[in-house]
Amino acid sequence: MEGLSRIKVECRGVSAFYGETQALNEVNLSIYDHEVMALIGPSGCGKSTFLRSLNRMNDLVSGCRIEGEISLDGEDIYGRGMDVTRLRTRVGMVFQKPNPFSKSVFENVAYGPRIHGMASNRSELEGIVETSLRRASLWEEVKDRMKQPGSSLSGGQQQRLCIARAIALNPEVILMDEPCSALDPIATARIEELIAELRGSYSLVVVTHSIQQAARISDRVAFFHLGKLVEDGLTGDIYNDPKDDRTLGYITGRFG
Amino acid sequence: MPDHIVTGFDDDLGRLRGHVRDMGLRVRCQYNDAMSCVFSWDEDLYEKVLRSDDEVDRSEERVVDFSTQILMLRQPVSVDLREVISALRIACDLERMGDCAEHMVRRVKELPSGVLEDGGILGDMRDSIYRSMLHAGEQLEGTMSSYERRDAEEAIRAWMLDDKLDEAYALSVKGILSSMKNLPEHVKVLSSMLMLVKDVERVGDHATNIAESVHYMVTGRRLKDALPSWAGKD
Repeated sequence: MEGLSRIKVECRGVSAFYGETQALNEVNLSIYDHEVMALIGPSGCGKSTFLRSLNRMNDLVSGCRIEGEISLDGEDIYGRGMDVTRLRTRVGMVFQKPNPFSKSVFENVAYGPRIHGMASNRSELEGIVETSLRRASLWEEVKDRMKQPGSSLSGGQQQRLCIARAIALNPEVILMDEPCSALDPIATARIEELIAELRGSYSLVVVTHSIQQAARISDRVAFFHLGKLVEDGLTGDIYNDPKDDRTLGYITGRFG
Repeated sequence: MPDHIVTGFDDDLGRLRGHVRDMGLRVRCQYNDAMSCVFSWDEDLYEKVLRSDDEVDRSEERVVDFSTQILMLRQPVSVDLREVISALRIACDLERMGDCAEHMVRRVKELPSGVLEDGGILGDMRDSIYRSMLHAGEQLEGTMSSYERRDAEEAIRAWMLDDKLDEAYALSVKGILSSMKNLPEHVKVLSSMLMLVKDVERVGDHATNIAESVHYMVTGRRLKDALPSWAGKD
């Protein structure tokens, strides 16, 4: 596959625990530059836990402990010198339910760049906001509504606003946790089209419960089951002839 | 393999297999009838072969319609998707085989009686033409049996029968061409016979296609990549 040349995120022996409960078991998986990796598997299989371990979102969950090694461009993200706030600008995240700030459309996107000092004046900030909204395919729909609250937008627009908010920080990796599960088919198609466009600039890791969506959007798929990574591979290969019966059972709807 | 959680999906795939099996049976009967007609002309059998062609066409429409419905409503992947794709391809090949059987009897109808009997202008070639038709029929039987059993190894064995057919076909063509030189006054009859054996060879070609579809359906891989090293890959 073109572009699968450089490893962006490398995970080796990653395990996760919530107190005594083990949610992830020795996961080894690499995310490449400019690829869309879909994480699939039944509820509770550990795919969201894995996703959240990639930008240390799990640090915010009390009792959660991560073992193993996750590196971003070769740097251990759980290492002592890692600035977690900086990490989360490099590895952005979009959640299942659109969660715009209680601010205007403009401020939703401008907030991050402003607090990170990415713009030296108003005009630069406006430039970042416009570019981010354009990249999120939202600019044309909101350019005359910049002062309205983010929550006044439709569900699909709010989700694209959240994507613009992540893009504004100039991330290298974007994590998406079921980004379309609260959206109608039209809004879902817009997000899927956006994912295809963003692939040119970022690495994307997308958790989805829809195996059809994983097939449509991803270059590679990783199937998780009971906290283990069962198999990963090129989407076409996995969907044609998965190596493991558990993967076959899941994608064909035969899971017991 | 375990059943689908949605049992209706298994019912649909079962019905699809039934439609393909039914179509295969019709074409096998049609081909065997055509073969009988070639060696022992029977007007009723001739009419039956022509009627069978309409039934085969309707069978193909059933497979296509039902496959389309499954693709639309179930959105199958992996082994299930291969099952539907293979059903579509197999139905297409079976329909073409039915056409070949029809062409065969139409060509025979144009021939003067007794050309394939001892002392007839093609009497010497009766054996090689018979063997061509027999091998093509065996291939058809073998590939449809491999479909019904979902047996990739059996599909490979049926695919490899093509060598025997090619051998008998080459012998038939050689004999017919030689007769054309020696008996130029019978070139029209001999040309019809040449086209007839070509139809038989096409039946074999479609049978190898079906074997390849069955192999892909069962394993997800191309049959030619799974052939033993001593077998030809062309």
